[in-house]
Amino acid sequence: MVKIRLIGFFRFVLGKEVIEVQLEKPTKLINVIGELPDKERAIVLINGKNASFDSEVTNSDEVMIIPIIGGGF
Amino acid sequence: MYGWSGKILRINLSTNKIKTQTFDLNFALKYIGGRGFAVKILWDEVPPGTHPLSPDNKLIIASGPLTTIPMPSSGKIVVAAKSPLTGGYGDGNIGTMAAYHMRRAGYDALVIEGKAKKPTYAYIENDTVQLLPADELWGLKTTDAEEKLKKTHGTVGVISIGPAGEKLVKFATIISEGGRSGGRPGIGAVMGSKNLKAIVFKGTEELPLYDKSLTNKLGTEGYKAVKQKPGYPFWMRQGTVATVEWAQANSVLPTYNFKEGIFDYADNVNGYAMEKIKIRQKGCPSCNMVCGMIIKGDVIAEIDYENVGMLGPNLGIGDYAKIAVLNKIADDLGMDTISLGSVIGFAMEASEKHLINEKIEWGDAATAIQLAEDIALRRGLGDLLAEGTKNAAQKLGNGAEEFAMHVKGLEISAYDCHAAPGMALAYGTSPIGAHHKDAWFISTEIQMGRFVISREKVEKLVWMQRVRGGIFETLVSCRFPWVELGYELENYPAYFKAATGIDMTLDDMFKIADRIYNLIRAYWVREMVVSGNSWSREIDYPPPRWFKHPLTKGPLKGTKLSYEDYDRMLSWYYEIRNWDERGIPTKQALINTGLEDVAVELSKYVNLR
Repeated sequence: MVKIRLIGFFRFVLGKEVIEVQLEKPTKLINVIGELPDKERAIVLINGKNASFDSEVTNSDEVMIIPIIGGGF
Repeated sequence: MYGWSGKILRINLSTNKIKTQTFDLNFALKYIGGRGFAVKILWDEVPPGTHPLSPDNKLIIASGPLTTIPMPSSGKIVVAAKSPLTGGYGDGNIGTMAAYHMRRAGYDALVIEGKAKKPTYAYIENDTVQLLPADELWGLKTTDAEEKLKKTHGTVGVISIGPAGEKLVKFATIISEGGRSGGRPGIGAVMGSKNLKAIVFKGTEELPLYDKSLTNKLGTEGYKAVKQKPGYPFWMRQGTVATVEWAQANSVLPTYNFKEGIFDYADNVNGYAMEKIKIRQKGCPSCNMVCGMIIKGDVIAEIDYENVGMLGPNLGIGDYAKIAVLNKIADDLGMDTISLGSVIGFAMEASEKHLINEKIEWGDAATAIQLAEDIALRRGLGDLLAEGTKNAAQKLGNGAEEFAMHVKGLEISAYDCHAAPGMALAYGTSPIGAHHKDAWFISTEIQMGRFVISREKVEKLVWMQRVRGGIFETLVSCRFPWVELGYELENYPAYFKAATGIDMTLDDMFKIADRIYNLIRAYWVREMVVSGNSWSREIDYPPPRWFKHPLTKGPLKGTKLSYEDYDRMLSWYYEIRNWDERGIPTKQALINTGLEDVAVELSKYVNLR
């Protein structure tokens, strides 16, 4: 199963901290997760490496979707 | 002239002389406002080598042309002085009704000089300025002092210091409205050194806007646009406290005095846990992104991410009930929560390493609370810690400097950088010492490849300093609509035009930002050299811990910074800024940014290249 961890705003929007999906074949991340608001303000990491929503993911991958933020006050 | 009132109010507390100085459009356009005005005044007027707590230092309160105009999140003022914590340039900003009233009293800035013979407060109502006795206020908590002053003067804006400022705690801040705190580098101590307890503003004049109806129209659209940003609903729930989860996920949550970037009990102090004890929210004037989260712990306190990070995980405390108490002590007694969290974390580690006799263990909230009060009142160990982490470490010796988490004497704010080389550089090159205001770089860093060391990364960092430390700190408006929700930067030149009538592009603003950065840097160089310190690029290095002690926990276990990589980035940084390899602005850099006179003055202290 591909494991997708959602942080901050994206966790809030999807109402889940982690999404796990069994894939039949390598699939573009966007097709696994569907459309997201404010996608242009997201950082996508697959197994800790920079990637995008168009990157293909497989069952062994761990994905993190991180919002771009600006730090505290 | 529109946008600015063109007036600076000068109060000399030694002579009780009060005068209003005017400035022209050339000055306004060269320095814009906020920290631009502040550093120009400090450079010109405070004699080199002045002791920061002597009457010769000047306390500056400065607004900018966008301060409290009807646009999103504009309710801020800058407070600045030569810093008693760092010995260099120091500033901070506060969201407060004092900003609203100062502008409407007809002043762009206030310069406080000298020292009052007895505790005093200033009451400023439009053209009427009074210096009044503050004997009954001296010693009071900031909240109590402000309440008393509001009882006396009615609807006003108040900024005040607490007992920590009175006792010259080196990281005392200026406080307003209970939980708004500004001036991390000890600007509250400078106010205390002048025997000035509070400044009360009441302004009833209209702002001198170039096009009032256009400003209103842009502002109305702006508030709407901010509210419609996709991130708005989540922001309104957690504000900056959402960063706890974010920082934990990215291994940058300061834990055990920055030994680690993850905390075992982070879930207890994240945004979701906060929502359960939130009782209301508080914002600055003119803001619809109200980010002050008022929580009910053992006491009621207003928190944001920095407070939680530094008073929670950094001390091994995973309990909001106790974080609230520490935070409330800091606000009531008038201290910076970031530095407070850092010095207590430092003490915990010094205790662990038997460098001090006092026992204070990680997570020991009761002792931390006692120590916080002792620091404000300079009792026992608190007296040592009140000097700041750098000074305390120098006094203790025996390797304490390796875990004294500061740059230039200013304690590092709540982001661990073992695994964030660009953010380490942001701290290293921040113009007030280690603070994230000028460039909070971690999102961009992760986006660009976390461990990539490249000139491109450093260019992006400089760009970020131009925007955050340049534009927002001189227009004096909050960066949050842009940085947190993606409210477009291009809106700001439009507001500027509506307020002042002057066309200015973002590029023009960047050039002014570079001028101000050069001047702040010149200030640091002059002050360091004149006080007998040899100047070297090492002033821009973060603490040894991040280079020597790798993370021992989490997905990035084993990670640390490399001096070689850091030096490469620092050299690029200097090149981009046209500073020499010592980190001193070149003569050409000063001339190119319209600072010919600064080049002449600075060359009395160092050879400019």
